[in-house]
Amino acid sequence: MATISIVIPTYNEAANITRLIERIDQAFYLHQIPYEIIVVDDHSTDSTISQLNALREIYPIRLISKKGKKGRAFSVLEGIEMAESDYVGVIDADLQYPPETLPFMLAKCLDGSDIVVAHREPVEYPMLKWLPSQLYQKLYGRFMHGLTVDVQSGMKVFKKDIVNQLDLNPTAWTFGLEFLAKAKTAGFTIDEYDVAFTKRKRGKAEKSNIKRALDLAVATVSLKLRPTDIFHFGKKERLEKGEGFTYKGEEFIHYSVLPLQQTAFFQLDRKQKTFLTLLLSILFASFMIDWHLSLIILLSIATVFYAGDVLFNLYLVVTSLYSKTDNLIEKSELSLLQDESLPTYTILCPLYKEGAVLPQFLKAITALDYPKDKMQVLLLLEEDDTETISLANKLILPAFVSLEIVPTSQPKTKPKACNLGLKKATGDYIVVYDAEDMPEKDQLKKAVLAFQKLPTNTICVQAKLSFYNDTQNILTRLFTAEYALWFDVILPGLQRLHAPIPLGGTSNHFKTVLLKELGGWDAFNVTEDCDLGMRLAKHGFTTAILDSTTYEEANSKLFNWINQRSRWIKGYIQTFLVHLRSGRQGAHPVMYSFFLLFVVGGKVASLLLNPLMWMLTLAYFLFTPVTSDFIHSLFPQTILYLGVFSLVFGNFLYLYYYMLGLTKREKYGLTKFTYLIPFYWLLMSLAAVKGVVQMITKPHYWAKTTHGLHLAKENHEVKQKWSLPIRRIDIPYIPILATNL
Amino acid sequence: MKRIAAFISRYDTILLAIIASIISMVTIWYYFVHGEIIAYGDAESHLNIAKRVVDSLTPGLAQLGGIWLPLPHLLMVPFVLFDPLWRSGLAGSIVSGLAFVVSAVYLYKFAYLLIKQKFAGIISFLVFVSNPNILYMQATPMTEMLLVCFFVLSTYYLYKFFCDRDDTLSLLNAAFFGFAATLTRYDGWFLVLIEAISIAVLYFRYPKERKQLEGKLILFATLAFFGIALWMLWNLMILGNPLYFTDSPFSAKSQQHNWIVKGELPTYKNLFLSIEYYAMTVYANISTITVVMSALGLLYFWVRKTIQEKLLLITVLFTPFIFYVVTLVLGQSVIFIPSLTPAHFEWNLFNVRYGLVMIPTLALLIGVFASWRKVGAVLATIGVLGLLALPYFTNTYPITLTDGTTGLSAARIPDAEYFMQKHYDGGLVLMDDYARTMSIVRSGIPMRNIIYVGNKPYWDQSLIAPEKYADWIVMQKNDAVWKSIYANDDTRGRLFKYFNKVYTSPNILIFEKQKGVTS
Repeated sequence: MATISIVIPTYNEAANITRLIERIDQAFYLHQIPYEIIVVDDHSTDSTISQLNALREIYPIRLISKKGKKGRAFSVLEGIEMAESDYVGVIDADLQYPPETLPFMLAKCLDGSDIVVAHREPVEYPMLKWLPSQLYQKLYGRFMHGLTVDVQSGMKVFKKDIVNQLDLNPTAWTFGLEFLAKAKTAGFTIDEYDVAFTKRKRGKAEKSNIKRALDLAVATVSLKLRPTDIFHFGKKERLEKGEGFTYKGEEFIHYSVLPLQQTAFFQLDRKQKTFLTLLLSILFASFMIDWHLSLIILLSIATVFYAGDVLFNLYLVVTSLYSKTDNLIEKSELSLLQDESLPTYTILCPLYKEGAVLPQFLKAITALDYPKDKMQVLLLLEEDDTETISLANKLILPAFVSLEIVPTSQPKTKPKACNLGLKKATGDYIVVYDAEDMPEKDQLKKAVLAFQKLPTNTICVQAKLSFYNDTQNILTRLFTAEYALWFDVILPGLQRLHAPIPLGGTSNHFKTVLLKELGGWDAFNVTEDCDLGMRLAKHGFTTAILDSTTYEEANSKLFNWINQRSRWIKGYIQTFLVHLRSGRQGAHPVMYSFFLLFVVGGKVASLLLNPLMWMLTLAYFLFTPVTSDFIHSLFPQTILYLGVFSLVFGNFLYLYYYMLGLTKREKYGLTKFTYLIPFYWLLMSLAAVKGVVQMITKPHYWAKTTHGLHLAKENHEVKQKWSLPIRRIDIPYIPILATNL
Repeated sequence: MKRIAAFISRYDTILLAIIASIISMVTIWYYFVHGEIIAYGDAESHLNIAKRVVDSLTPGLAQLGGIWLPLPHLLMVPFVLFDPLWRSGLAGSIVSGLAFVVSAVYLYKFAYLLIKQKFAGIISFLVFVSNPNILYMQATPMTEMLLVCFFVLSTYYLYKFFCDRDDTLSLLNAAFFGFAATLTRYDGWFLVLIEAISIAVLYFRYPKERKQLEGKLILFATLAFFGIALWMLWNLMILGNPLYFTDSPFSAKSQQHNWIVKGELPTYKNLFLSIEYYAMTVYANISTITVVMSALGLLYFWVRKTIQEKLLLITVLFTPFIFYVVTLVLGQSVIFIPSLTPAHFEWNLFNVRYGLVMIPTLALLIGVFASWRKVGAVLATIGVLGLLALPYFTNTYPITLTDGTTGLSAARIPDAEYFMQKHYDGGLVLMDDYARTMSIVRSGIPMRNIIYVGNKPYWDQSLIAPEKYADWIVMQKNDAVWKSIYANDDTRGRLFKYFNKVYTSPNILIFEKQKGVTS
């Protein structure tokens, strides 16, 4: 079998073809390299074909009559497709390139380069003809596509497989540029080999230079405007590194079979971009035509949305209050469970720079009432987090706990680590716990029973979350109120309405096999939990709320809280966009769409809109003489009533819902703090703005939440306990904290 | 027979609701035929407030004003949209009638909750639905029946919460209906206050649960008192004073002040007389049979073991009594009742309907009495039969109707109304509706053609230049229109320049704009 296949596109090259074939043969014969020549003739009208037929008797030539469109690029692609060797050389038939250099270029390829391009050094070449070529190279190659090699070169050697991995759609004259640009994006190495480039001595060029330049210019610009390609890992790379792809020369490993269209890797697809552009254009135009009327319409839409939101939430909360669907498991049922009959369980715990809480987590996991021989606990540690790795290595881990190092690559997110954990999971069920989590002892058993009792399409049960440091400061108190509302009121209500459940980032229990089939988590979504909840619903699965609580650490530092919240909001936007482009589906499609638009999208929209509406209200009351007429003019009477209704009853009800949540959670001492919730809303809006900015600037950046802050306070309290009367933080299940590390 | 009993037992509340509805509709029809639905002057005012929200020269929520609480009017709005329902008063009867049905059914449920005997519930139900004063008031646009309804609902759920302190939903319901009561009548404000205190006392009785006190009390009070906060906010926004409802010249306090000045408010600063007045008012609304049975019921209430938190419950149930006694003492409310009010007073019958609010409590107590072995059941049955038969043997009107027809509460029907019915041929009519110069519903004038104090720009300008908008001017001696136009030399000139006097009576003058004159 030949080592290299040389592809020669021809059109009326009778003057050069024989000489070219002879020189190629000499070159490879000299180096004892087996080769084949594939000539793709573009329907020549001279004697090119007859010459080649004669040469076929002597040399290893395959002559292919062009089938596709006319043009050099298409000839080259057809030739490459026919190539039988692993390496392909392409050379023009005009003898401007020295075929003797082909073996050397091949050698460079064999040394490790993916592509070797002949770098033309003009010899006796007219300067006036050379200049446009240089200009093209600088402008289109370097400036527009960042290519430093000779993009107009007609001689290259490369691995055939590269072409198979690239989705090439060249025009008649742009094979070189598109091939090189996409190869570079895909992460292939491109090198050069200097060759002498002389002017054509025999025969005529196929196309005039002006037409060719124009064709090149148009193709280059359109190539730039087209979306950049993704290059998925081949089988070998998948085995070595895991599922991933290359984009713009950078490697992304996400360990998931989830199609990228269904991930947040791209924020907007083409349709969404078009829609957004159209929408913004219409908005801009309408404001230019009549800004006042436009403002009235916009405010009316927002007001109707607010009123709808108030009514929907009222309905949701009332539904939740009358719902008992989260009380699935009785204690008596738990006592009947036999250890032998329990399924195996995998616990994933992704950690990043959280060594401080690791001992606490190990204690909490050990305390779980579940046979340890049926538990597989995977501590997912990031390769670059040497501190936590070394700490974990120093600990004597129980037999059911093992470390899994997640190699450093993009994206660096928790769901990516979870995907790796999912691949390694051996349990029938799988659950994710954060490092600072303290699940109730019987949670796994409750989950098992819940799965047994619930319909088979229940793929996930979500435990409730609450905080063990709820009284640490005002922020933790309000955060606790928010969680109480979400997990004890809203989610049971959503469950009752058969709406998708946006999962909490932790304590969600899955049937492992089905989760794998669904593709695991979206490694690019910074609220992978919300996304997964939506995806489950879209595939006709349901999530149930489990009557068990996992206690977490409430974020007690303002900036830490804002970071965390901005990530959540960014993730909600990502989830909204991802699921908006994948259509209406699921067992309850109307509810799914409604939920996506109003709960996921609406939640973010309201956070951004709220400050504007509050400012409008304040401006009305504080500067009435100046502002009242103008503000009145923006609200037609019906809309004004709706607005006032939302302002008064909406704000009151939302505040009241927090009280309800706290009552359900039996955190009676925190109820009075809910009067401070409006300030908390302000912070949420602030975080929303940050989330939106990050969505544009750093969409996949995972603003890591610092955990273990309650430990610092605990230590501080311990040091001071002889001097100050202080309140101890009540942490269930772990009487003594391991803080001596 | 067993099947019928089982069916009745299963659908008891629905059947009782149907019975109460039939009673309600028949009574409304009766008073409608007799033209007594809007006998009270206030009845028409309630209807007009609701009407103006949707149909006025300047429609909108601001028409709700800042004195009378807004919920009854808001509930009437969907019905007053239809002119015949507004003019006949049926728009208000529908609201009161529904309140009556709900109250009756929940009294049945309440008695059952107390005693766990359906018979007791039926007795309470019957006592309530057979009361002639209740029946009359549920046919009118007055607000008492709505208050009774929210009072029954709120106390019912509060008692449910007393029985099961983990039943947060009942606490919420109690708070919600308390909230509704605070937006119905000012009596509701006192009700939620007493309820909140009772919750606090309740937790003090259970030291182990005391940590729940703060949370549960805040949960209750935030919703229950929200209506009060809203009303003050409304007063501030619309009228510039959060306490306008009590400070303004149209408020009850101002009206009572006139009685004090005249020396005709005997209960003012007199606790015992106030108790006596209110007790007699309640008595005037019931019968001796009811008094006796409820007194026996109260005795049995104290010995009955199944009833929980007796003191708290009875305090809450007697809230209306406490409220009216307190307001009588403070001079915030006035009642004239023939048996107590001195004969030389200008009026001897006024506001006796206030006694109505105690009837649910008494009905409950009679239900309790009915559960006192067989004796109680027999006596209560006889008593109720007596109550049902009483109207056939007596020929007296319900006192609430008498107050509405001949008492101070009665609407006056001046001859001017008939004049307008006959001669009004369109155009805007300027009149001081607050002074109740004449009835709008009876005069046939469309509400949107009335210029009154609530149509601010039109009203203010018309008092200076009456010809600007009005085609008709109706004025009553010493009302706002009279004072501003007729008694003012400048504007009187304009009045006679542009208008012809077309009607004259000792108290009312009517002017019609001269034909062909434009302002």
